[in-house]
Amino acid sequence: MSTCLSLRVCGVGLALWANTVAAQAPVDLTELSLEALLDIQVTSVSKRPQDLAEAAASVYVLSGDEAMRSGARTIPEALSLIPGLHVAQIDGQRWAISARGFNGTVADKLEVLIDGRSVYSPLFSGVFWDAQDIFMPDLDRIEVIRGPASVLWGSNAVNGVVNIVTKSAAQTQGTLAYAGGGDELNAFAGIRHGGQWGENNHWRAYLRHWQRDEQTREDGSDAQDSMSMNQAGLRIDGVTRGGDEWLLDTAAYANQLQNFDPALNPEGRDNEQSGGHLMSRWQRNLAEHSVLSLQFFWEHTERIQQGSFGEVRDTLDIEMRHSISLGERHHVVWGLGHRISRDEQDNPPLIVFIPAERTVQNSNLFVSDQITLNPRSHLTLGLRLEHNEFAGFAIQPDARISHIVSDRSTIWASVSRALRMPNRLDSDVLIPIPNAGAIGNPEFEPEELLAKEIGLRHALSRDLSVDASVFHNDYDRLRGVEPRSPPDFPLIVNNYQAIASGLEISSTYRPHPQLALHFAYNYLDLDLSPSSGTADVVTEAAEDQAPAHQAWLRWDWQPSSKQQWGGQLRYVDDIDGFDVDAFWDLGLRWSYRLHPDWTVAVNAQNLLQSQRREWEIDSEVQRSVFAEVIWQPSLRR
Amino acid sequence: MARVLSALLAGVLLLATAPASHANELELRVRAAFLYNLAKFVEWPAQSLSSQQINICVFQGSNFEKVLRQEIEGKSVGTRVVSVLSIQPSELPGTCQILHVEESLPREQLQTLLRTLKQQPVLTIGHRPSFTRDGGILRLKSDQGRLRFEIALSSGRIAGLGFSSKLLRVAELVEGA
Repeated sequence: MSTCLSLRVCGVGLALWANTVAAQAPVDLTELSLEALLDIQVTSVSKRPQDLAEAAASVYVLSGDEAMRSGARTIPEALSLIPGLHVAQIDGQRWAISARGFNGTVADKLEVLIDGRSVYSPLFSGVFWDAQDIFMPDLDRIEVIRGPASVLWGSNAVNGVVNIVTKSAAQTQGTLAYAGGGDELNAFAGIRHGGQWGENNHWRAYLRHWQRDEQTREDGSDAQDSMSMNQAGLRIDGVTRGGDEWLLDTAAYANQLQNFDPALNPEGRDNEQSGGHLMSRWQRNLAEHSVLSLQFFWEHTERIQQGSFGEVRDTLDIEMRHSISLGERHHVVWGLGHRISRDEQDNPPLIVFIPAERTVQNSNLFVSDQITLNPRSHLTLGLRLEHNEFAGFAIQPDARISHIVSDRSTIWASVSRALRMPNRLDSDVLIPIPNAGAIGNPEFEPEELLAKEIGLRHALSRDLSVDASVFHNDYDRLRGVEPRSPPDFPLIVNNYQAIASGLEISSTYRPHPQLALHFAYNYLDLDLSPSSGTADVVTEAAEDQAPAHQAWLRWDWQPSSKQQWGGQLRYVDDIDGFDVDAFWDLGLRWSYRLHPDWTVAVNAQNLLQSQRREWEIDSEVQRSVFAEVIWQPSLRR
Repeated sequence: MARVLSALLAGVLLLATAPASHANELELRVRAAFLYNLAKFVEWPAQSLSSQQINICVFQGSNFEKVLRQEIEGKSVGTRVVSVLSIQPSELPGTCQILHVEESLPREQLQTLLRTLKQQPVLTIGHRPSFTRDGGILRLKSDQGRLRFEIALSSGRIAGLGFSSKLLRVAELVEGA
């Protein structure tokens, strides 16, 4: 199969950094386990060029195995293991996830992709996390880039990118089934089967279900926010006779979410979500060091939140990307993309979008050049030009440099301008509450970030590696709400500025082949200030809605080939703005292989408190336990 | 060159910007390390094995030979030492425990070779999609840039080879010739 070789190297780099030995030279590949060796991979195949840009950036990779072995059963749970992200469970259904501040139900500065398909909602540029899920055992890895990466990843990548990659169909052959239940995650089950036809074509199909109990309120009463989800999917990976690689991926889901809000939903009807996507990607090696890829996806989603929100949306996205080496020194990646998204809003009285139906189009053109200055130094220059219906043309430049100081350490630095492009929530919304509501502003401009970052990767010894970065983010034209005298509703405007600075350290220590320890610490200082002339004093509250300190300790111990102990301890500092106390979160997992085909596991979550609130709403996460059985008959033909 | 390469490896993420020729070599290094793992996880009939060494054979003049020598020659597997031998395609690789067949070898020649080696305790490794159907035992391939491999268990058994479960767990098992 013909994937670009230089990318493989990048894949090796990431895989080694994340999973095995750290940066040390010469890396002796024969010391890697068989699994680690086979794990040396192309990172982000779908977004090949991005890898090159990632070179000088803060990157963290969590492998699917690590996620499974930590007991993560949903994407947000897996993300809570990743240093640099702030993951807060809002209630039994919703999550607030962000990097470097600005978190919330409508956090809008993160690009999130599942197998190359961007999943943030064009309505508000944020992610409906309750509708994003995958067949967890088929997760290959989650890569998180902190900081702007707009040039190659798209305009929403202001504070970071979450790239969720599932295994190829060839890697998920045979049957895998699991089932289990517990006191919070009441019941869950899934089955996947993968097969092959012809020499080079593989497929897999899966079905899954889970249901989660409601959380609890502070006073101990039920929070009435239980949820269940059902999903089915199919993926085919193939290689043509000519060596072209292609991929077809489709999935559909239907979720039911409890909603009891006496004011909005007196009959207590459930919220509903359903949707599906069809994605295809095709990649051809035009010549040596010249790879062309085309990707297309269509996604349909429906959401009904009784009394507060209802939307039907169709999105069509097409992208072309070409990467080519020019001479010895330049590696250029360029591409074009276009997205059409049409939505139809129910417009219940509380939040109204005008017009109720709208088709929004976006186009982009980008180019990035990786220049080899000398064998030890690389400079990457990138530029993204985007046309957005609300804001017209916008330019996002990016410059990154890296230098290999010694066999053991690398330093890098970057300067980027990234934009959070306007959306319907900025432009078309109406919350018709005099004084407290808001009305959208068609003149709303992109929120702007100028980011400066430096980083260091250093291998202290064979077993211990450290990755550190320091950033300074300068935001301008952030969204706020300008009070106006009635009958005018307060107007959404660009009236805030912010400075965010922080330090992020992560480290992996492998004292023994069977034991891995991952440690990380984040510090964030976020300071918002109103632009001159505004009377908006509300928006400033965002600076008290991000934890200043977070820390992670994750371990994975395999005392024998049959037994595994995993766990994580996470510290999240207090969130003053919502009166959320600082907390320590402890999760443990024990699994045992009873038989080559059968594994049993017990997971305990949120062990240190009987209940705790993580965000604004009075719905608290509870201590919980669940057990599961995994059946994976080995492939025998 | 090797120094530059190690430095690049040390650079981890920076590797991305390395010219492709380095990458090519790196891919070969991964394959070499994989062959070393095979030496650990495959069992040869005791009488076919010398007490001192495990011989990995490649055809003369291939790039892979150089990488194998750098990466794994002299490494020990249990009490034995890995030794890399280069042979002519026409030679009978009777003393080889592992034979790596270059991608460039024409299919007819390959088929003849595999026929000759049938029932010999030699782990044959190749790349062609038809390799296992033609009687080869282990085929290397790549899937989305990662090294993957197929094992034709039946052919392996005919050759008298045993495979550890550790290896089979990560292999794709296919029908043999």
